[in-house]
Amino acid sequence: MAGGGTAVSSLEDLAERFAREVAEVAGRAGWEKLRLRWLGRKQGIVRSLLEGIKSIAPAGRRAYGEEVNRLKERVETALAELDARLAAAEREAARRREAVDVTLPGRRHPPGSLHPVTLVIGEMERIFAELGFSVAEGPEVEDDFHNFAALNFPPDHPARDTQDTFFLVPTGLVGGDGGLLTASIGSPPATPPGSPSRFPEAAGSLPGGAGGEGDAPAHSLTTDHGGVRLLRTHTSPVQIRTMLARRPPIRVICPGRVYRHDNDLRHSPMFHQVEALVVAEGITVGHLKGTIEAFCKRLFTPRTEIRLRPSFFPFTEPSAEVDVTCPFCAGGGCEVCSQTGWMEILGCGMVDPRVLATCGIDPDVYSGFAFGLGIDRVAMIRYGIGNIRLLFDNDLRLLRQVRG
Amino acid sequence: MLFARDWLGSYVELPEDAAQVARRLTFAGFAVASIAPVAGSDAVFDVEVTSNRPDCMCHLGLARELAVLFDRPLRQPEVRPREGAVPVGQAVRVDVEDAAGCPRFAARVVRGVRVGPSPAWLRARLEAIGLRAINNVVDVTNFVLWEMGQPLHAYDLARLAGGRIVVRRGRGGEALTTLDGVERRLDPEILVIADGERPIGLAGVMGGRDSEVAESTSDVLIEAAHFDRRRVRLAARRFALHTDASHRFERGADPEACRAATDRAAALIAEVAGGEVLAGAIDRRAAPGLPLLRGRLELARLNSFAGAAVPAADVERWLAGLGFGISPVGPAADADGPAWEVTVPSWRFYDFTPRPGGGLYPADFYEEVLRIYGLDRIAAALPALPGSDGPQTAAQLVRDRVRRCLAGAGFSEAINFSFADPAADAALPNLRPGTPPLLLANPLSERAAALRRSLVPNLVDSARFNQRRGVPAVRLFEVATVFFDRPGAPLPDEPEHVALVCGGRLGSPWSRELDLDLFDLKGAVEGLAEALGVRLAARPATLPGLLAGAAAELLDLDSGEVAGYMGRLEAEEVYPLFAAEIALAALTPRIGPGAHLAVETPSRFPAVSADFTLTQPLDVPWSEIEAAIAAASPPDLVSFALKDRYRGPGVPEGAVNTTIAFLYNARDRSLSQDEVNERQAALTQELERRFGWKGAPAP
Repeated sequence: MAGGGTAVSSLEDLAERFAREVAEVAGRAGWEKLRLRWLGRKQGIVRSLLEGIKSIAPAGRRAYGEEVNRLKERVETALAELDARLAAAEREAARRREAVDVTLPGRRHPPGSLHPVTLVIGEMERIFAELGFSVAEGPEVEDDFHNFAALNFPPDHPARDTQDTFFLVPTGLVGGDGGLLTASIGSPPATPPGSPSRFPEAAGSLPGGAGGEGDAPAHSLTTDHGGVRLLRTHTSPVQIRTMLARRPPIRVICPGRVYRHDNDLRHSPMFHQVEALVVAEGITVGHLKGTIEAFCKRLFTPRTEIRLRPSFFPFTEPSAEVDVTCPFCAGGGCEVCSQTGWMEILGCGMVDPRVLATCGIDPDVYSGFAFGLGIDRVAMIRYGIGNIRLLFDNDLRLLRQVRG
Repeated sequence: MLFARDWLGSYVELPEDAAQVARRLTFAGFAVASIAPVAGSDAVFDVEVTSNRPDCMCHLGLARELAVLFDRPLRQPEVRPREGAVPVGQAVRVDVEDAAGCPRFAARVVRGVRVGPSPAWLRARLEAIGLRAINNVVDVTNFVLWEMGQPLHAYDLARLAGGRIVVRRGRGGEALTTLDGVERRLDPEILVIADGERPIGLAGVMGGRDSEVAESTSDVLIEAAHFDRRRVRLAARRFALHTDASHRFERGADPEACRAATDRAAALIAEVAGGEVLAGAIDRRAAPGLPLLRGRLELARLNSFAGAAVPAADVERWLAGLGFGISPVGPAADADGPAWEVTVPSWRFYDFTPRPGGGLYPADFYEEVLRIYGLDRIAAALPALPGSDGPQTAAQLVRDRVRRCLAGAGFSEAINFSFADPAADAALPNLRPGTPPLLLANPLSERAAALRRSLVPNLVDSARFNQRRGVPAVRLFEVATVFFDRPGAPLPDEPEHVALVCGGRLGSPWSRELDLDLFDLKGAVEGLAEALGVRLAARPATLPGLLAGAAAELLDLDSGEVAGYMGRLEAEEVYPLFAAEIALAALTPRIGPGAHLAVETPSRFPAVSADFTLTQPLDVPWSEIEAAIAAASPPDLVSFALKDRYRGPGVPEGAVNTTIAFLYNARDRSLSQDEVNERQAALTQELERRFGWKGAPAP
């Protein structure tokens, strides 16, 4: 080896070479090669330079050593910087590789849904449970006594109109599995009794209301209609069955399917009602109002108000129609309520003493109230469904939107 | 029903503001649907008069209510005609042969009338409430009906054979052409008005064409009668004739109004058509008349019933104003406050039903007083009843849980009508085969003529509705009653069922597609059973309307009874559908208080899993393999489950590879792999021996 000066100048060449090589490195592999070439423990250039100090004249060793160390530092620093740059690039690449569009839709198990009518019944049952009511149920195929006679619908009276009631073919006329004596189709049974009350308003209202008055003076509550069977036209027969089966105090609601021989855009031959019945000593008209008010405030909004308009039902006296603050405009007046601010949704009254007496409850001791409303109508209001028929199409495109 | 304000105003002085009148009527039981202005400045109210108030189906009746509501006097119209000298009995003879059907018959005769157009005031009265003016005589009868509520009929006296009126039953073979030009065949059920020869009117419903008052009429007989409500209703229904007269008679007209109405009509006819009113009136009256209804009213009881404080003076004034007789009687020993005896006016007779043993219920009078007082003035209160009436029943609990479980499993709830197409109902299974369907006597259509015995047919229709609208996957359920006749029982059995229908493709490649098949349906059924603590097993069965080989009965393993069924529907449209139905009774007894709900604590030691693939003939059912594993039950085997079924390359024709995943876990230690292998080997050898593929059977 030549003198120190030469050695130092060749170090400067090396430094230049390193700078060139660093600039050429493109990836992690190049970096690793560069590191091995310059800093490798066995054959690295810096290592061999350090070992080369032995061939340097002692006088130049110090300067040489310093120069080599400077070079080593430069190499280390440059490699570290390059490492950091490469690591950042790698992290960025990885990020790019694993990145997702977080705005893509999540994968779901498509949810099912409960029917709007079920949800509204459930809500009403909860509200009434808070008010201390239990739920009573009864058959959908009824006899004349429970559906009409016991509810003070006299036989053969305008309050009954066979157009509105579905009757069953009397037992014995049906043979085999579905075989029917064709003569009996379409003709009502021998003594066509009864028809619906119009107790809950959701059923729509007929001019002149429901009415039926007493059948003075011969009053027959137990008229045998020859085993006539019909589809109940209201859930009131459940009230009768409850009063016949239990003693006061009674506090029940009777939700369920009811049937009317009506089929047009506004009426469905099957719909749902809930009726409430309270019978105890000292029940007043004020209690009737208070209970309806508590129910409506919970069902709609706490600001809902009610008003009672006297009306007529055969099974209550006094009877009334109940208007509630229109839930669409909060009483301000809108198209839905014909600018009145009110919506008629309930029928109510104090249980007629004749009905109590028929059920074996002494009307001189006990009094009671009843009210009823259409569930479908409330469901339509709640879910913005304009036509009752849509409730029974079972269109999944509608049902799947329904939330509790 | 239309009422003109100025007409009402001729009997009672009304406030200027029509809306105020409408409001007061509405809140006293006469809902005013609309107020329409008519020619001039006055108003016509459209009033809903309930069927118990036929007395208010006329202006005078409604005016009586208004007089009480506004505390003004009621002005009755002048009804006495100026009479001539000839007694009415010389002009006509009236015989009531059916006194039960016609308890009262009044008539007057006006001679020498000139039939022609009515004067303007009369036409205006009628036209304001939507009636067409016809001629002065007929217009008067309509006017009196809408004034006093009593239906009237005017006959051309010259056309009455024998100058006679007979009220009798119709006769077989008789016919009558009514005013509307339709010929009506009569029989003894129909009450008729006849002359000396033939029927001339349907009593209480409509007159006959041959005796109607025409231009040529000179002598007029005016009839005002009271007919039995049921007889009128029967005729009106038989002939589908709903008239102003039948509407009132069916609901109960005022039995005492007949005579006054003939007087009023005769006087008005003489006024607007000229002529002479014959002296006196015919008035046939069946004895005894209707009883006077009476009852007791106590102020204190009224107020405690209402939850209000109605003053005694108001009660007296209002009831008297409405025509009730009200006289004080001694208060009951325990009552504070006055008591009255109240009698019912004849025009309200049919609205009051005596209680068994006679007399009226006080509530009948409470109603009258409170509707005038105003229900809105009564303060609202909650009844002071303690606690709750009772808990939910098991049926309610189960129904609720079934619904929530299925909605959670992705099914949407449907509600269908209870009506069934008898053909469709018979074409699919029901849980009580052989029970005949219940049929409706008056169905809406032949396709809705039965009550359903199964929920499936209608639910399948709902699925089809969705399929046809391009819904790619259908999952629907319904919970409802079905109907089975019970011979000998008065009413049918109405068990509650749940039905499920599914089919189609769920999701998309993005969200992992799933073609719904029988096992998705069965999974939902199993989930339901598990949620309710019931063990159900499927047993292959042949069932109507379900594809052979893909149908099963669902057995309740605890009771051994058939609780339901499931299968693939034979009929197919767009994509296959799968349906199941289960009786809720089978799901009922095992939840609720007392049910075994305790869970098992998992082991603290690690579990060892082992898979095993069995190549087995296709016709070995999984249930047998399952039973064999359960029977062998090696120690510490905590669960096993079907992991995969594979048919294809590598599996012989007629065989299937069944992969089962086993999981071993001891409660007290870690199991070694060797231990597990040893137990697993014994088990799999046994499975191979019993179920393994031994080559295709010899042909």
